[in-house]
Amino acid sequence: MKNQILHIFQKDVRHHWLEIAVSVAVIVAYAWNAVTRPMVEYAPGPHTFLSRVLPPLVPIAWAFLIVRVLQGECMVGDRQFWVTRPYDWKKLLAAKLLFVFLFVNAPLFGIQVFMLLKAGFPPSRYVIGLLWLQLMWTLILILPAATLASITASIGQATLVVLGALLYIIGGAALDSVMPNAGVAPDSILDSLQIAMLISAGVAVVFWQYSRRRTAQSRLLLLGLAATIPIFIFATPYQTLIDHAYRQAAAAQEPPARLAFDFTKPRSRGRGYPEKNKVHVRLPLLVSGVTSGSMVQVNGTRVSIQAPDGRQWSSGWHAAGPVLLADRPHSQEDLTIDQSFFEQVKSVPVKVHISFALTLFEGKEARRIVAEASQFSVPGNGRCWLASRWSNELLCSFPLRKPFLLLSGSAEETTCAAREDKELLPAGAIGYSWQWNQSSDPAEFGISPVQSTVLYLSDWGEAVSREYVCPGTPLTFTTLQETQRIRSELDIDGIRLAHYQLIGVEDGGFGISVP
Amino acid sequence: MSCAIRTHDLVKKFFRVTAVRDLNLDVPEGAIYALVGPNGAGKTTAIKVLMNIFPATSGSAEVLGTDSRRIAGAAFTSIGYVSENQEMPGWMRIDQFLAYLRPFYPTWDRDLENVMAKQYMLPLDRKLGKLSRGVRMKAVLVSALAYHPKLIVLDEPFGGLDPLVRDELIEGLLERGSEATIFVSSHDLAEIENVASHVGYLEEGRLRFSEDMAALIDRFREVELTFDAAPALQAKWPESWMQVDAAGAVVRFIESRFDEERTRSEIQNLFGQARDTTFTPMSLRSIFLAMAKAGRGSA
Repeated sequence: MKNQILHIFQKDVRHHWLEIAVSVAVIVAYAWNAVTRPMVEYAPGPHTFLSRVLPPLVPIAWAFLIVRVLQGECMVGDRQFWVTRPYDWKKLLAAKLLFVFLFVNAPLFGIQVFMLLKAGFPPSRYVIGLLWLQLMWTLILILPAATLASITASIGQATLVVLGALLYIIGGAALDSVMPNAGVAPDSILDSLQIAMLISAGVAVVFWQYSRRRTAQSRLLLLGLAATIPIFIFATPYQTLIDHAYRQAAAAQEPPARLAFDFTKPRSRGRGYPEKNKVHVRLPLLVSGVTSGSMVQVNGTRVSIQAPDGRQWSSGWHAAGPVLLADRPHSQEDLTIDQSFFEQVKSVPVKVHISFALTLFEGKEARRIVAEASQFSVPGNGRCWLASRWSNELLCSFPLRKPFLLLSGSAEETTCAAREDKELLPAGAIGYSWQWNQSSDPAEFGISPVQSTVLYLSDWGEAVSREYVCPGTPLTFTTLQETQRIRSELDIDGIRLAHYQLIGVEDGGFGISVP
Repeated sequence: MSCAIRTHDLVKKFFRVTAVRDLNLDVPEGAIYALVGPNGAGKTTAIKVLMNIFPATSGSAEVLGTDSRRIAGAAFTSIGYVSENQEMPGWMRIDQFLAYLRPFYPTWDRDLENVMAKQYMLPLDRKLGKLSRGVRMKAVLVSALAYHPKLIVLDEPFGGLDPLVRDELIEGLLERGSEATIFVSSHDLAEIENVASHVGYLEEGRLRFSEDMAALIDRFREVELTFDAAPALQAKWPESWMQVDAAGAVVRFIESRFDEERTRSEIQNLFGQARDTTFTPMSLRSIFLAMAKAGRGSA
């Protein structure tokens, strides 16, 4: 038979026209909603519901379509009529891949081109990124769905497997979260190996099933892989990875940020999240030495406390997250201490040693751009415009990926007129905002190729919003790159922890970038 | 004599359960071979190993000269497989199903398809999933015969069908499958008694016998001996005698290697002269039941 691939494909189209229609309708609705909705909805509007429902619905519709069409010639069982018909397994698989390509990949590509065009970004300049997104969707959705379809006999079975996989992922995440030091350790070769194993197993199972239909062995392979991954979590030498990634600064080496205990800051009066048998402590820190136009992230901290009687407590490495900037002299170290230890030492002077895992991001390119009333170009091939509601917000769109950048604006240069309901900017105040993106991938994974973000300029620490950006206000956009990872140590002698016990943890506080 | 199917020490195990044990089977080309045995004997498993639906645990099998492990794809252009439990694409109408299968087979005979569809009065515009069991089997049989397969494999094809439908199917099978080897499994001997040229009896995964039907019928006899007085019974009977039963002056048994001269001689040696001796030919069903009982007795 010359055209077995097309023959099977035509049969599948005839059989699954309804699922095809639904998935196309969902992706078209997604695209329509994405290009017509406002970037920021300050109050629930007609697009709010669709914006919440459609993003998960698109992959669900695709996964359903893939599973249904692959299960049309089910690999599981010994009673399927097609098994004893002259099907060539390679052509059967090719027919299914053709179906997935035409009804998943092609619509995805089509709406991405459409959305780029509507956002004013010429698609021809972003072909590599669009192909990268196709690859990502193939690995993240199509391959798992095809693997699932090839080891299950029905949608019901497939759903149960998905639920089981979700429980497994939740369990894995919980295990990862309780592993000492795991939250701070950088990605290692073991992480890459796990991903490679998952992809290889998926491809192997699909080919094994189509060529030989060995369901039991295929399922065993996947179960074996699932059993292997926790071993990787246990076997990863997190401490070694941290030591290797964040080396101790040499004596003569100037650290990217100097951190000192702030003895002058009064005890905190914040309210905290209650946690059984735990006490929250906030140690105020003074920051200096951060170069203008650069940014230092505290990736993790490790705190040890030693009481005069020799009793000791150590937090191990735990993820932090504060960002240190020039002209921002205050920071803090939040600690969660075992209550029993705290009660024993809270009133005596203790020695505290803090290790900081720091990453320095330095400016690659700085551009001063004057904000315009209409949209204006910004680094990363993006466009920004002023939010209609707040004068410290910039709404920005970028093709395929957001840049990693630091935005700053000075009080002296703001063109915003003073208003009665707004507090005047103090002299010398600088508003900062930043957009994280440390990935070097050509595109951010998602359905939409247009990445939108809100840059919110803030000088921190003040409850009132300040007006920084109006038409004519010059802003500095600095694209960042990682240049150094280092460990910094701080010894604090003779403090009483009771003075720094948090009654509460304040919400927010820093300048934030809204993703 | 060339064989359409040949197995050598074929074994199929499912974990600790052995479904087929050391199966040695020769199905001559052109034969209508009936593989019979009680439910659970291993007939369907054996067929699925032959069709490469299941891999064999050990041993080997050849189907139309091809190693059964290589039976796939184009090999099925020469094999028509019909099973009572096949999962069909229920969303397809019969005409769509036949049209879908047509291009897979270079030898598909559209005229034969039409003739059979008319003969079976197939409702071509009905979906397979909505058909009665009998009509569905007819549709499947048309789809398995329309390309003139060299080997037709039927796994319990007539189970649960009413006699009229069953006779229609058998008639169609015999008419259209005359040029093919037919391998049919059944637990109901009445279905295949009049059509099979060869028969194999499978029990608990083992092939108890496999031979030409005429020879089988020839070698089995119900024997009834009438004496003037109750004869003295022996502790041990000839191995070929089954179900020996004595009631007063009458002794009955089943002779499984009937040869009139030899059997009379054995009777004479064991009982002396009987007043009356009758040898009654047996139906396949009776032979099957006798074998089944003997099997259970020995187990």
